[in-house]
Amino acid sequence: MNQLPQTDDHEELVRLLPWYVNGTLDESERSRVKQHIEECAECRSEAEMLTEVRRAVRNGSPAPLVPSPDKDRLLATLDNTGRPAMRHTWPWIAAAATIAAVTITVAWQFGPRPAAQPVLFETVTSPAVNQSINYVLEVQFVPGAATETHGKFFESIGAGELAVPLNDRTYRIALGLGPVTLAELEQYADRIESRPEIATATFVAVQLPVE
Amino acid sequence: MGGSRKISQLAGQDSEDLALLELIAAEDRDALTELYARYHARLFKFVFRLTRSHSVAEELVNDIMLAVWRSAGRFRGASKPSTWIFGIAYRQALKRLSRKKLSITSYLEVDALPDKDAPSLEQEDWVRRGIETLPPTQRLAVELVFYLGLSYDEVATVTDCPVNTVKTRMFHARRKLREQLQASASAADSQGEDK
Ligand SMILES: [Zn+2]
Repeated sequence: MNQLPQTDDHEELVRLLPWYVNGTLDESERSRVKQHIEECAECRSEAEMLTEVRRAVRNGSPAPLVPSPDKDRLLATLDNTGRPAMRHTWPWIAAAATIAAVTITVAWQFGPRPAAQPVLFETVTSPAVNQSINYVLEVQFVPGAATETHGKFFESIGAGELAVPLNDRTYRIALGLGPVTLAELEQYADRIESRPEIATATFVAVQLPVE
Repeated sequence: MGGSRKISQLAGQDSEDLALLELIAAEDRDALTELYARYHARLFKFVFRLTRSHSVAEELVNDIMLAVWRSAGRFRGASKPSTWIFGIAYRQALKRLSRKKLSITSYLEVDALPDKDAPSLEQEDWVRRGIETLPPTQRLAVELVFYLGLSYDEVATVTDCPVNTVKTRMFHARRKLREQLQASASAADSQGEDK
């Protein structure tokens, strides 16, 4: 007499599949799901897909270099907690958005230029970006590289019009790479950094289109 | 060989965290920096996955610890200290993710990398991109289940939602992912036919 109400079971068990796949169900639920999967093609296919998702999540975004804990910064934040912690967030985004727009619209020029404010520069939306994603690369040339070398470098990576100098050998460039993975970005920055004229290359921001 | 010693070994991490939280509730700054040192790497990796930015991730970890400092007195031990701390991390991350405006179309209109050696998209990349385009609550649910490996009860605690909501959220997330995967698969097929 194994006449289980199949559909009711399915409705309940299909919702447990993520935890069947991550191995946290208790034994009785686990064995019910396991048995059900053997009989239900839909749940089998769901479980396969979730296994794929789990693999992608666990393999993806290689663990970044974790910075050392900055206790001083934390304690400094604590000392300023008379006001809400997030108080500086919005002005900060606004400042970053301004810089982002500048990065895109200001044409490359030789010669001195006021350095951008040293704001934190992160994921921002920018009206200047239309349905594409820009990654902002900060490059620093080796000391003594001629400005001509700078210009040639930007042309070689197709960013001749888009580099904004921060000082005499550091620039930010908004690159329309399309959506890429973190690993791809890191590879790209590594390739840039391996050039003899470049001291460092780091992605410092991503600009997203405004909806 | 007392039983209490065995228990404290089993729950060593938890009981130490608990002791630190009690001290933090009494405004002990050293206890906060100690807890910060214990959780920094775990929290950083978790929020970095969501923000892809070192400085935003660091700022978020800072915000999380500040929230721990402020609310440690309200921790009643109903869950493990780590679950409670990740609950705070969840809320901070959700706040941050909800601010981003990232549309699915921006992922579909893929510009080529300016490099011919760039690796082509593989199934795993599509899955990852699909996850990033989920609504923040669904994306975080996927991260909690598959990155942190939490049970549905733990996800419910961290997200402060009923278990049923958690299950439904995951159900919607994977239906959306499946739609996207099918779309990417048929796009790949039609590209193949063009050749
Ligand atoms: Zn089923």
